[in-house]
Amino acid sequence: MQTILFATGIRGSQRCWKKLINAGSFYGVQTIILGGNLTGGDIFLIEQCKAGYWTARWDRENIRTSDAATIAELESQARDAGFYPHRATSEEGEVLRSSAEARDKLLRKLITKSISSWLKQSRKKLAGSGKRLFVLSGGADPPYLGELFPDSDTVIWAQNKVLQLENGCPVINQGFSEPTPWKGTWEMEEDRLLDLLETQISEISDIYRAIFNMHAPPFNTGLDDVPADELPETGPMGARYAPMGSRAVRRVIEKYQPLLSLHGLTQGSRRQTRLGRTLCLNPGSLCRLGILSGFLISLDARGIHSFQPVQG
Amino acid sequence: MPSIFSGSGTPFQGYATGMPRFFSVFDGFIYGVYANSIVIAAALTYSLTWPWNDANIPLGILMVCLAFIPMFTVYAMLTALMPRAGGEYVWKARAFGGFWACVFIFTPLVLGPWFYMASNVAPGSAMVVAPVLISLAGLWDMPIFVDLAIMVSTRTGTWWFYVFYVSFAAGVMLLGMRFYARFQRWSFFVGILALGTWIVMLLATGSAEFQTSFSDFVQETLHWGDGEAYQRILDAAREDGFSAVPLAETSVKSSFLIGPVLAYTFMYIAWTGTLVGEIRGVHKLKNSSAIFLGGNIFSMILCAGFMWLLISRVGNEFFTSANFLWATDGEHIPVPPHYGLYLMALSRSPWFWLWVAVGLNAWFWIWPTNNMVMSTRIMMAMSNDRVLPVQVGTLSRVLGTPVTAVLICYIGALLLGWLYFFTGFSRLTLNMPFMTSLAFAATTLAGTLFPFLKNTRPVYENSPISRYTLLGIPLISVAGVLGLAYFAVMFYLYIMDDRYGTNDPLSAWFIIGSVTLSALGYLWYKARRRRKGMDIEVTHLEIPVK
Repeated sequence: MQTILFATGIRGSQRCWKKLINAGSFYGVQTIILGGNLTGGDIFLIEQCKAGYWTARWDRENIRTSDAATIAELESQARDAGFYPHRATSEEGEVLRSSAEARDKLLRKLITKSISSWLKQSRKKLAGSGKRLFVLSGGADPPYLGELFPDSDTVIWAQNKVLQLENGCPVINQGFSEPTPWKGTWEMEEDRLLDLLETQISEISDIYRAIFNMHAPPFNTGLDDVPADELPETGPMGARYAPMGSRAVRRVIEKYQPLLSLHGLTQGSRRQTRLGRTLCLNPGSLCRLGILSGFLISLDARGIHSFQPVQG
Repeated sequence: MPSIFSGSGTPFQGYATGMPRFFSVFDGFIYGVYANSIVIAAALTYSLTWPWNDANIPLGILMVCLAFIPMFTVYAMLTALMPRAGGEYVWKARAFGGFWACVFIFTPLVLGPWFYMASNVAPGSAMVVAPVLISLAGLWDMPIFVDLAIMVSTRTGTWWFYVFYVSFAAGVMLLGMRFYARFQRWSFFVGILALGTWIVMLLATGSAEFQTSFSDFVQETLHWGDGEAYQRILDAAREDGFSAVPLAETSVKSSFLIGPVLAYTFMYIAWTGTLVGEIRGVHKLKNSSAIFLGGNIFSMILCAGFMWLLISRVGNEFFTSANFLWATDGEHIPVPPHYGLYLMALSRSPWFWLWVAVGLNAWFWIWPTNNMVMSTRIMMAMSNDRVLPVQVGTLSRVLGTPVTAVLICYIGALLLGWLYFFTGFSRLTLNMPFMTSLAFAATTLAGTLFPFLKNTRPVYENSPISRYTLLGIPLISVAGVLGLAYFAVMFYLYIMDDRYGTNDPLSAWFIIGSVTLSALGYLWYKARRRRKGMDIEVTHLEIPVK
């Protein structure tokens, strides 16, 4: 029997990352799979103004303080909620507001620093434990994310790879999704995505025991529901939820019928469904609340023994 | 494209359980006020205080609402700590584990709302539908509306009105919480406007003037009392041994003792606890406080002020005598003496009657629907934790609402409603207010212990709520102890004093049986999951971050 934890969409939340690396021993699982949307996309600016005061706007409130502890707490809150705090002079703040290039450069620096610190934490927790963490890209993650993950036996950059669980189940990892209204970095046209998936699938022989870890959920399965008012165009018949998943992903699941498929992308769609024999799961995300939302899945020789959602 | 978080939105927006947050803080506040039902349920509650003949209702309202401030402080803080859909269930589950959450939730807050629906809707036919029909009869001079008013007040008529209402409630639920919020907001605005007019009318009416108006009104519309209805009611109550006292001679002790009766109305802001995951911005204490504490203070001021005004015009002796007669000997009085009747008596204009009736309707229609909100939200949260099947909490992709949960509620409410109206089932439910207050007390206890329990301490310590302390003790715990102290008083009185009507042995056995069944059901399900290698208790556990 092997138990895995699947979570997705921690979106830069430091608190969720800490929970993720502790989840192995907490739930007693050997492998943790993180299914994309690892990083956040916003800089949280704390600007220095005259007379030694710092100002910021957090949670619809203007904050003005000279107290170092207050600023540190604010930074910590921002990191836990998935933002990248940065202290700047008012001149630098102006530059950042007006220049996308400057923001891009700074965000890269902050993400790099954050990931480096996360990897250091995870080495402490996971080294020698025999536990592994597969990290997938997806959605709004920056294109350079993979470069920040050095080769490792514990925290494994999984994008575009076929990995294996301890019990031999192959895990196909793919972070690309179909084009979405959010215009994420890890997006490509459906036919190209289909080709990519087919190539990956052709690498494995035991499709019956395979796990598809694909950031994009299969189209129109409920796992890909997005509230229609979040989209530029509402769904058919003015539906409250519109499907935002990938046809290519759905096609390969229906065609190859793996044991399990794991998905993310749509944070509100905490769902499970079956496409033929394949159990498809999307745990959604509660990262802004600092809650790690996931599924515990027990696998035995015959397939999926049991599974259950957790919110830790 | 990277951006700078502008802070104009909240970083905590999101879809906690797939449920969009359609409620604003103001909507949450109104929801709490409607859960209290400060006009309809309140009218019924006031009419139950006659056994304490020297009680001062306005003072009693002040006392009970002040006594509930600690409890609502705990609720506001729990909301800010864990603004999750199905809050009541989630808070208890995280503090005490799934078993105790199930014990303290299933009977009072999943099953209970199904027959609360019947007990809430039943008075509606006489209190809000009949007055509309009587007003229309007066306006259009069509006596058939009076016949209809009489018909809806019969048991069969009330049952069919109930069927209509439950279908209406299910429809509102299926249309989703955005529609619910709009309906509720407009009802509230109309209701407040109506209350304002009633207050003006009462201010313009003297005590003697009311006596004449009331007697004339009852004579003209109900053909009862020979123009002396007011005095007849006072005399009949006196003859039956009721000792009524004027407001000036009421006692503080009795006013305190009616608190547990008034709690039938004023503790129900806690009903909002299940909905907090669908209200925007409640992770901030000032917003959650606006809902729980603001709703409590608003209800207190409005109800105490309104009742003082009403009783000062109607007369405390008359108010309590009429309630006594209706409860003990219905032959002395032709219709339930709820204050809608007194308000209508203030004018001879059918247009004013209609306005009173419209106001009562505005305070009625969306109120019993919140029973379905309570039940469905807890079912969803339990389904999320897989204590109930996943299908129960799944949202319809077209409607965005938990259709299965709504249908279960609909069928359950119809079934229990039929039992309520046509069998002796209602006796079995007499102790339910006690059970519900036990559920609220369990949540208060959960909040009290939140800073100290292994599973909840990290959540507490990571929250801005941990900043609020009193002499170094977490404020949530201090408030919790005070809230529990008042609950202890309430429970003692509920058990020891027959006048509260909550110590019926048969009802107690029914509730104990129901709680036992839910506990056994949970244990069976847990064992079944364990055989499959899953421990459902881990669903509730907080992963450490250290």
